[in-house]
Amino acid sequence: MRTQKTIYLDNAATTWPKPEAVIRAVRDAMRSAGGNPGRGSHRLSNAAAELVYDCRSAAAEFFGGDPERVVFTENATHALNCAIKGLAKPGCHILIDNYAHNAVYRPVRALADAGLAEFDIFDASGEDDEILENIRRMIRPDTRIIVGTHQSNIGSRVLPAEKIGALCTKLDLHFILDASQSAGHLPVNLEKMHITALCMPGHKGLFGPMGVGMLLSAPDVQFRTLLEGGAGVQSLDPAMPAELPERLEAGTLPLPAIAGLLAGIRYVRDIGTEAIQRHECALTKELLCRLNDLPDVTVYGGSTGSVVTFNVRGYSPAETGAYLASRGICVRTGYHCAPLAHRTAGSFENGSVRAGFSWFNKISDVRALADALSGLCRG
Amino acid sequence: MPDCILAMRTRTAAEKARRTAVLERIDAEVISVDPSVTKHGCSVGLRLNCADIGNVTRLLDKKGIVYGDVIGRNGR
Repeated sequence: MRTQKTIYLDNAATTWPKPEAVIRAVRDAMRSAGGNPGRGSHRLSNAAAELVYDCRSAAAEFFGGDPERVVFTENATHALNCAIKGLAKPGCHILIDNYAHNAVYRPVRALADAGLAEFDIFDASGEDDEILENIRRMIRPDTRIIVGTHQSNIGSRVLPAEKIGALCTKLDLHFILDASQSAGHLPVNLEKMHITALCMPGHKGLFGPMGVGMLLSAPDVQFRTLLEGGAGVQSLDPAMPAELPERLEAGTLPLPAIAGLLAGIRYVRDIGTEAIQRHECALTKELLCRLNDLPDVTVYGGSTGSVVTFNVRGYSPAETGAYLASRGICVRTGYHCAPLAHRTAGSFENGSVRAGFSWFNKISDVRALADALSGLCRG
Repeated sequence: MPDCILAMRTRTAAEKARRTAVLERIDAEVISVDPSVTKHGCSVGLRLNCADIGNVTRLLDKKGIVYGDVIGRNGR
């Protein structure tokens, strides 16, 4: 029996395949750096701690910032919760954009439901100047935080992060950037973009394993803790250490995942984000061109970047996804945990089908998807 | 020349300090410090040749790396 080829286009959920260097790094960490990082000073613990610091250092160099302000989290959702809840003050006002993922919307909503904050949603679907004007109009005297979605997970709109960051600096507001879909895909820089807290997963554009994310922050920013527990130091003090990153890292760190993330960051660094962006944009352009020839396909969102969302007339997203899966093509269907974004893009009724590209996809993958959709449209 | 230990607030700061010292060709090692020394429980320090303490603290000040007291040999 012939094995069907897998065409993986669900890279916006998690990238696959991973670079061989990442797989090797995870294996090597488990084989040779098996101590608990930061929990001792024997050889294996020190080796683990040095590896963890190597990753902090690589992330700080790649995204701008200080290794001491690179906090490892479980994932981007955890990082965003740490940033939003750690920076919010009782009674403050928060602005989020209308492409926000539930990893942003739900923590903000939870603060509001608990009576701890108020929030509003600004329209980020227009031109840069319109977006900035929308933000300016909605800022209140008690506004403390603006949370931006750098690249939406259902379309390819890119937020003018640098301009929003500059505005936040001018008005003394915290700027939290959700880089879940942009880290490793687009240039992202904490300092250049005037970001207070930069949140990202390790397992998407950075090609790390699942189980680790990062929160990078600007100098002198103080966070309240989201979790408390062992930090390896100052253990007789009832409170978490005041210093980052340990302040926000209660419990043992996921060393194998961090080792893989380090290899992933180096892999992306060596290729260059610009080259990755060019490659993914070319795939997106080709797909949009092919879908344009299919009158039964509706595309949502923008036309650049690494994600294309669409629906096929007469089929629900789940039916289209199942049809594609039967042909070995992996896509994501539904609401992608981003109902606000679907409302903005006009796909709120049923959600959509999403194809997300990575460095490992080829033009033949795009053609296979377009050919399969063409077959579905013909019935 | 005996070893001196520079108390550090966190493992990350200690590692950053160690690398800063090593870049200047100064031998340094991150070690666990006897909890009784700091009164805060488990602690870490940077073990150095006592003759290098002045140079290292100047480097750490320059880099903004926070450190604590210089404690005696082997953290006692």
